[in-house]
Amino acid sequence: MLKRIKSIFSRTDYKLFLIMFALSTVGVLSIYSAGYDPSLGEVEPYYERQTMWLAISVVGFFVFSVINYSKLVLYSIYIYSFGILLLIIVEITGFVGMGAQRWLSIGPLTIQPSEVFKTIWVITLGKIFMDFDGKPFGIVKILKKSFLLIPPFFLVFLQPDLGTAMTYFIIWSSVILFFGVKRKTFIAIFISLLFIAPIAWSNLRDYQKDRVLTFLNPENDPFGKGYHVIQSKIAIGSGGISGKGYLKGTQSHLRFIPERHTDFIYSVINEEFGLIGGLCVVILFFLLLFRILSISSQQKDAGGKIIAFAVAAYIFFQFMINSYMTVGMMPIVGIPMPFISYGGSSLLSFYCMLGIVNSIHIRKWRGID
Amino acid sequence: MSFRAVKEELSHYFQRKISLSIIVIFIVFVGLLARLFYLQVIGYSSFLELSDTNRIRISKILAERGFILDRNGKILVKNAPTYELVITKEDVVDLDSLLDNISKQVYLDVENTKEIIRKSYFYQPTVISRGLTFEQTAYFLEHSADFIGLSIDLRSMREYYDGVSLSQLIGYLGEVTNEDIDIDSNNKARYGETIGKNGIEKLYEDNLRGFDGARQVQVDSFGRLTDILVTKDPIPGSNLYLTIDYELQKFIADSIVGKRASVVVMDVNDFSVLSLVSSPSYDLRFFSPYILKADWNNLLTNPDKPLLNRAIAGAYPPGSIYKVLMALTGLMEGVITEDTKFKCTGNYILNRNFNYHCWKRSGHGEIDLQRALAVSCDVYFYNLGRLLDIDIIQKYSNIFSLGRITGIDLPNEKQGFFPSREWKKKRKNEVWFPGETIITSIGQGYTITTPMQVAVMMGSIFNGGKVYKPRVVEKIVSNIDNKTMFLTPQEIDSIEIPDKFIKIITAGLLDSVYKSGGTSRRAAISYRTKDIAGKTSTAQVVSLKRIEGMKEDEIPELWRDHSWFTAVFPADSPRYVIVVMVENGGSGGKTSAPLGGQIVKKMKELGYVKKN
Repeated sequence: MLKRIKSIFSRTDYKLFLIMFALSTVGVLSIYSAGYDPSLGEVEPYYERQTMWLAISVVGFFVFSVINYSKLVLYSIYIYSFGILLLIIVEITGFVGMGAQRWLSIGPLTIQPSEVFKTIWVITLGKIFMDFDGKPFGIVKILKKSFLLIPPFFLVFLQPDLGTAMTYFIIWSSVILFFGVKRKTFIAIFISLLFIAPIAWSNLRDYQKDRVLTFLNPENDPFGKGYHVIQSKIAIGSGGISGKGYLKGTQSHLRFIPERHTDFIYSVINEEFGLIGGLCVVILFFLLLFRILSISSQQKDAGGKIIAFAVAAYIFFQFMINSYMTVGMMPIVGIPMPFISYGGSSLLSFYCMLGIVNSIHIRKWRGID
Repeated sequence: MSFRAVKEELSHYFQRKISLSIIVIFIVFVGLLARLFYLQVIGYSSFLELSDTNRIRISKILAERGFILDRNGKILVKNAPTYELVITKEDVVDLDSLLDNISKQVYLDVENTKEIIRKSYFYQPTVISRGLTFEQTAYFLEHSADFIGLSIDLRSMREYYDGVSLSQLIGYLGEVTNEDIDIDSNNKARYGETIGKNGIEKLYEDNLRGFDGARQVQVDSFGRLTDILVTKDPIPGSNLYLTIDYELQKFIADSIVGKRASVVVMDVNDFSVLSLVSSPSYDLRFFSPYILKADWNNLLTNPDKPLLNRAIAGAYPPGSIYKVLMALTGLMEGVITEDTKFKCTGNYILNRNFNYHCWKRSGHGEIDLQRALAVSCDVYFYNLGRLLDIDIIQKYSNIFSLGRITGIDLPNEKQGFFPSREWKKKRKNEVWFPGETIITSIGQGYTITTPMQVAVMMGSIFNGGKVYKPRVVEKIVSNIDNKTMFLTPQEIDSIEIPDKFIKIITAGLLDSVYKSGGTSRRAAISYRTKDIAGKTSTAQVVSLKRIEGMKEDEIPELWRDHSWFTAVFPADSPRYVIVVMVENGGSGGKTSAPLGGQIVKKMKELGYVKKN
């Protein structure tokens, strides 16, 4: 056993680990800055909790590196059921507590099952799609592949957390697109979406409709979301090329930007470190994604390939949606930036995903275990 | 389940897809970088200027507070413009000298003002002085260059038609404090604004307040407005129409001026309150635009407690007016009929040992219910109390609101107290003694009630047994679309009271006002129309022994009896109930009954009862 762990450590993809760790270090530093109040000279304790979660997440990364990923795929139905159970529990306690509830308390920690489910979801996707035979998907096959998507999507949608629910769908669709869809099916889906959209629209909550409307027309909510976008843009723009300096951002400390340690963390980075800082983050993400996709392409086993691809897709979409939102190119949806935004469950979930990717990397030559 | 290596041809297929993915990622990232370049390089100088002194701000537009009108549409409370000085701390260069210069023009508590400014939210203007005179306003506008960071805001303050007659009922506005900010979660009030602190202004705050608007503005480097970008109009608060009749309220307030007293006049059918007066009063105009510290301290330390709404928050032993409910309880439970007679010798002996007096030491002789109510014979009700016992007495009292809040739409109502066997066991760990039933039967002992509770008791008896929540607001009318929301009476409890019982009690109360020997005779305003059915009470404040042998004017004022009078009229089909309560007013018959009579007279003049 000890020997096995030793060999795991020696074969770990440290490039992957270092890029990931660099991103979360940037995260902790930015969270410290976002919680800094220059008029009182005090710092909100978010950064302390994030540091603690980072330690837990590193452990999570190595635990999942040690576990053979193919065992995860083998037992994915149990893991999936456990995830669904967590989502149901959070739904029930939320119902009892009369209001939106996204967290579960486990001892001193509070976790967000919808975040934890992201890891479970990429494992499940590996299982669902590993029987791929090379033929592009038709409508029947797509419907068959969507059965396991429906329960988590609706459970999280009901919380209500439309943003996270949409990520399950987006990652699932990216995997489908990865395999390819028959042209006829593609057109049919496109047309039916045109019909479904109005129905879905009427079922959205008012605040969700507002978000979409604000995106399409920012003047719709000039005192709420519209104002936040304006302030975020001012923060980023006023950072210039080299930034205002660490802890010296003005907009980000004025509390005009809500959730500046979660949703708008990228504005803080760009205000204080300017274009250079923003660019560094982009480069780190690009290197990370490139690394994960290389692992996916080297992997011979279909399950491992799909999981690694799904993890890359997850990181990519969350980064894109979050960064595009802060620069005013996308609607404001509550999706955090992976590795950087404040949030223990999200951090842990992404570290575990990369732990699985590392496990795939370690076992890439064996394929069959 | 088998894990297998992907076939060679599929492997190429995947390779292509992964390369494609990397291209997609690259394009998206380049898009982001292009946007960053646009914001941070091309837009840098303009965004930097906007970020410097936070050029784009949101300022609040306060909603106009709703008016308060009486039942006839007379405007009691409206708004008047007032100029206020506001400071945005981030725009100030030198706060100390600025405040120093301001305090040369207007009164300012400099230390306190600094504290308020320190606590203010980023870039939120804070009010530091209200109610500027025209000259002061002109001065600050003229010398605005010397007061960077200061601006003048036109806001509105309350203007009262009558500052005195309805003070405790309407309530005053005051500065928003920490607690207000916690409670007021959906409609955000901030420091430097005013909020209803008492009475209707407090309870109906959400309706009166409306919804504040906002303005997105651009300012220059001195914080001066250069451009309005977007405006969201405020939604004015709704107008409240009271059930109060101002004419009657004013008449009553004038007639009890100088006394510590309260009066309730209520419609028995829907429990709408026509008048709710508490004396002594205070002047609401002291609070507009703000109250001076000295005035406030005077109000707080005044031993007569002018801020107290005695009609709902003053609790007193009810005394003999409680006999009305005793009579009803006896009839309802069937332990007496209108013909049941008890003999009053002036004393009631319990268990050979304890002697309870009738107020008339010589006794009333053989007496039936009607006469017992008219002359307020204590011994009759001692006997009745013994027949009923405390549990039944307590049950009826509770139905008729004694010992619990009436639920009137005003804050700080007191619930009074009505004893029970369980209470005594629990609180004093003692059994209930029969002697306590006896004194409870005439409204003495542990019982205390508010005038409002007495009004509810009387109203519910004479409307046939329906107990509603009393209310002072008739309807809420929106200022946007004139949509009207009527506040309907809410039933709390009910009990079926046969008409004949009401008739018997009414006969007793009529005799009390109009027959020889009746205790309420001074309430009679004419003997041609006998339509007031009333009852007085003279409730002891200190034990009889302490004042034995003193002449009436020798007794210290605070030891004198509380004086009550309650009546319903017109007697043949009761429509209105009146409760008059004068603290330490002495005998009910002498002090409160005549006031009651005058109120009925005024109501007749105002057309509430047809003159025959």
